[in-house]
Amino acid sequence: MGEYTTLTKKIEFSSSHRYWKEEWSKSKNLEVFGKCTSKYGHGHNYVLETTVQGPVDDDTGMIINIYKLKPILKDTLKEFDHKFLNVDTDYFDDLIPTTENFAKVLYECISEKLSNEECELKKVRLYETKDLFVEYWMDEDAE
Amino acid sequence: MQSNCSLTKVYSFSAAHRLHNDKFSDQKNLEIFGKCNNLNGHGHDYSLELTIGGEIDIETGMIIDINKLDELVGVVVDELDHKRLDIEIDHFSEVRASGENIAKYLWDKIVVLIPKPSYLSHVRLWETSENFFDYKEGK
Repeated sequence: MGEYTTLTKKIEFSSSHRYWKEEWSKSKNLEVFGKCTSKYGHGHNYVLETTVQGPVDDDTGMIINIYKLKPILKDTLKEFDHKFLNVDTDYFDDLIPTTENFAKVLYECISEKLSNEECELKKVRLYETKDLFVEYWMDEDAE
Repeated sequence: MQSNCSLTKVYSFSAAHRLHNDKFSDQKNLEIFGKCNNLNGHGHDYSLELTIGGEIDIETGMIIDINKLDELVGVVVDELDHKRLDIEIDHFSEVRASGENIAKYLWDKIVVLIPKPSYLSHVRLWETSENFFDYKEGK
């Protein structure tokens, strides 16, 4: 693979979630998801690192103008920021809002929003807490 | 099938060590290991970043159960916590307790404990906020 340059933008937002699988008994839910099953949800200050990759424009010296990228990301996060993920969004009706699934959802949302740009979404890293993060990246086979 | 998702969990422990090789003269030890050769050792707050890569389980939405991971890794990390590695941990009586070797030691200990060993994709050991050591196998 040849040389490439990436740009990563970091944004913090806050959401609540609950891990619960209707098909399972209460005891099985508790066994698998522990305190994350708490009925009314609990919250995190998530930090999302979005990494884009693409050619560096000769005129601007940029992969994408941050002034353009930031509103795209903010707009994406509007659906999730200060929301209860299970109830206030449609993404988790049949999907447990684990950090893994949340990272995948965010990857897909941002990727779609960037589809008209020169750059492409390389990777998202989603911190749930400062000592736990999930990365979801481009499927190389699909390129 | 190659996955495109990974989960990283960070664990901390504090330990002391001395870098020294009996095969070398005192002068050579000092030359190679510098202040890390200090006779009575010195310590660090280590931070271990453990990356598990794999498929997201459809039922649970997880790559790995973090509570179980914490339990398993906790055992390995607790063994080193608040110890003088080259004196109290057998493995490091012959092997230098350098960041490189500690990273490999942690990989070897953890890979046999986790439910899907092939999911262990990366160990990063921070010795200070300025130095880290990466260890991975295969892939």
